[in-house]
Amino acid sequence: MTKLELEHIAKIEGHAKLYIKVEGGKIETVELRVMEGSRFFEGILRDRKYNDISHIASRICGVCSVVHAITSTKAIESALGIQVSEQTRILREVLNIGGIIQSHALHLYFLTLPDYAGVDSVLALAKTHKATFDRALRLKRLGNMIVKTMAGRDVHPIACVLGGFSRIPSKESIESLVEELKRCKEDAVETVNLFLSLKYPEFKKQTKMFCITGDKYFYSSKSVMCEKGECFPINDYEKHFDQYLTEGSPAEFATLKGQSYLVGAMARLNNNMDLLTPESKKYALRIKHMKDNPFMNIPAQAIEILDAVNRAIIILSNIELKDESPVEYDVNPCACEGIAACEAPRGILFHKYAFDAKGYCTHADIVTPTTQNLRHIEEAIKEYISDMLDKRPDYVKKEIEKLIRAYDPCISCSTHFLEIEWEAD
Amino acid sequence: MDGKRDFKPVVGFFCFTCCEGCGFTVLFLDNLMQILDKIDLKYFNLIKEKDKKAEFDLAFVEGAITTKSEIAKLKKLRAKSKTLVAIGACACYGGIPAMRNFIENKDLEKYTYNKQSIEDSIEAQPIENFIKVDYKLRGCPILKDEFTSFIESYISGREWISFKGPVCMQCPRRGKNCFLGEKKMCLGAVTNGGCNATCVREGIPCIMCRGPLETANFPAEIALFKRWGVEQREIMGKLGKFGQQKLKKKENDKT
Repeated sequence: MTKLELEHIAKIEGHAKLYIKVEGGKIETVELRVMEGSRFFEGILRDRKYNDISHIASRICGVCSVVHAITSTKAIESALGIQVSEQTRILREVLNIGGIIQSHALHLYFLTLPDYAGVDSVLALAKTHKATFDRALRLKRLGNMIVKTMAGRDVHPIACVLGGFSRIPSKESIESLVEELKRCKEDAVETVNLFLSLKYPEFKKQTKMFCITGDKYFYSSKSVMCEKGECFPINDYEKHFDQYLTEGSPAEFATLKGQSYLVGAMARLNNNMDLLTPESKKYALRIKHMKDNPFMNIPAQAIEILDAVNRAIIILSNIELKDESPVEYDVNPCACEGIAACEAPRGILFHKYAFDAKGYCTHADIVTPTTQNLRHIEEAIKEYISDMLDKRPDYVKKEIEKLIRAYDPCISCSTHFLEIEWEAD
Repeated sequence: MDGKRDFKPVVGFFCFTCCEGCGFTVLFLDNLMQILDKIDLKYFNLIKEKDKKAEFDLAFVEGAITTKSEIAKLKKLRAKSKTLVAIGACACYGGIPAMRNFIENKDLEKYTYNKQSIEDSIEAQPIENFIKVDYKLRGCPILKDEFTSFIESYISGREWISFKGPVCMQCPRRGKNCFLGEKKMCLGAVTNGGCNATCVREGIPCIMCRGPLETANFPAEIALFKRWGVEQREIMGKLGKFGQQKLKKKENDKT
């Protein structure tokens, strides 16, 4: 028995380690273990006042802080019975779109593209493919600009509060945002063309795909939908998805009654195709038949960037904003609980909170998209490399990394390096 | 710092337990390219693999220390780095991860993820509890302008000086329509400034993401909130969101 340790795979979000055991030429075990210190989020949220929760929950993840802020706010509103205006819903949709562009642009250009361009990092691309790199920076800046305009800061946004927003964006800021969106439209189209043109490995793994459905591609809240159209109410997520922990890792795994399932861009594209703008739908149709290839998550994200830009232009071009006050300070606490779910860049994000009569949190449950995808990732690695075992470890390692990155996992709902520990006979 | 540099400094970004929001903030810089031109970036967990032999002129560290193995990694990093900068609330004063230090044991067990992580686990602490830190860039996340000004000072060899004083010094509501006058629990008076009171400008009372101000009068702040009828646990919950580790140290120093 030889033991091979491959460590420090960069370019994914969070610290994880992959353990692979090969016996008699067959892969026995593939285990993803998260290697970062526990932050006990659900523990530290307990006993906090309702208006402290969102600030803490957004810190679960630096790259998708936007959607954690929105989802926690919505869950608390649902618990406390706070209604929001249509304007708030629209502004939050745009805010979420900004978060999706931030995250997808980073994943596609900074983490994924180097794999397919044959370079070790995005920094090399900056020299060899300057136009592409500049496009990446423009899209990233666009995402930041949307988030900052809507909610004050581009990482850990602050203005999305109970009952709405602490302030409404000015007319001028919306106008310059629309201009910037229009300027970046071409970048979004080129992004789609680029990521549709890359050569992805041929690999299939059939899985049930879930996303939230309703009337908006990026901001529905009607129900959770499986690809065949079966739906269940968001509030019932615990009845359908089980969460479990494995020894040796502080990350949770979620399953569909023991079976792996998938959330994220490909799930949304496949299930919610009819909610796309016509232009992005045209592209989506080109990859729909390859939905079972996890690598298709990459072009799916590119198409979502285009849809996000289109959608934001449509919404913001005709918007008339009026001043509204949030209710952050006029809430009557009560013993209650609330659940909310949003489409995060990586898939469905659930937040659930319970409060006591004085407004202190008594229970918190957060199910991130990566929690839901981890089981699928493990199974896919096992299948993907099963006929590569005669290849050089370096090659296999690179292929595993590519596959993992395609899912865009975010392990503390966020990863920095993955160590691979390999046991083979 | 020691005069203008005539070489590109070797720079690394390192991450311990945190949300990586500070790393993303750096990647989100509008002037990222200009900065990359001036440095030799050898490691950045999010985008570039590790060069094991590298030694660093300048190491940026985000995240709190939460396990024994992280202490060892941090010490190794210090030994390989000429200048080491703590970035963000977690590295500078414990941040959000340090909130877990104050959960009672039985609750911790209930929420504990698994045996292994508990065995290796320690109280979440800022990095200066283990190594010498040369500079601190505060905030959750760090400020883009502050990061840029730091790195430009470093490259030109000028000494970088952090903002001194509370958030109130830059607050647009100061002396006019202070949040405290409206009985909103703004923590600006006890929080390190330098952020241009961003949150207040956005209509949000300060939540102390830049950490407790060393010279702040915490007893007076707490007494004020108590007079409003705010419960102790809510007060401590708000004051302790980012800098609970430091607050605890202050209390220990008293006794």
